[in-house]
Amino acid sequence: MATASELILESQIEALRQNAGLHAWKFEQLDPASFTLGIPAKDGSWFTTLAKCDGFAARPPAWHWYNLETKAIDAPRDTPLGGNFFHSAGVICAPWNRLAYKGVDARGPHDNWTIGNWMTIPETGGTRTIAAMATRISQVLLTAFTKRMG
Amino acid sequence: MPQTDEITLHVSTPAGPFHGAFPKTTKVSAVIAAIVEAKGLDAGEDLRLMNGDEQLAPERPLVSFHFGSEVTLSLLATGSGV
Repeated sequence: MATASELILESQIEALRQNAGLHAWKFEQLDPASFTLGIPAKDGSWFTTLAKCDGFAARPPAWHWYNLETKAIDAPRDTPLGGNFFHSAGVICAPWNRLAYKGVDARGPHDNWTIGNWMTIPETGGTRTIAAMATRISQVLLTAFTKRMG
Repeated sequence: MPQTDEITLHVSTPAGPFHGAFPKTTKVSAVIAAIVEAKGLDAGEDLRLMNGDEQLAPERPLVSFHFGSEVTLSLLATGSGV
């Protein structure tokens, strides 16, 4: 029998899957708590995220960059840069990305955020659902993206 | 079948897709309010209606953007990268 957390996560991933269909993004669910999502950038190239959502919503997803062909995770050539959001450390810098917390990932720019409070950190704003996070990533890929990290 | 004075919107939202037809004279702010109500979103959030990388100004009517009879948009929940 599914737990309440599992049902919430299932619902949130389903909302994203339907949004992806609207925009012709490339969505593939890998297991109940992880998926890949391909999204176009403003130069016409595509980036793929690998989101690991275990523990949601007590903690935010880990939004990795991914290569569908090589299966490499967070390789520089698959990682976008641009503005503060696509941080020079190679992670999405937002409280709703688990990798932004230095205590979770050494690349994380922030040791001043508490991961358990991610929904109420001011910089989270309204980006509290997985679908909202994906839309935000898409918007930044279409605007602030400048180049690949490597 | 939408009326000629209406436009059908397909909008990705933080709670999944919204589909609906609006009079072309509807302001963007009213569209956002209708989606917020329909999808049970938090009315206190700063939400922006986007067409790709373009933010649709809240005070403008839909007709001013010269969409066809249907368009796919995004409802963006703001928050800052830091």
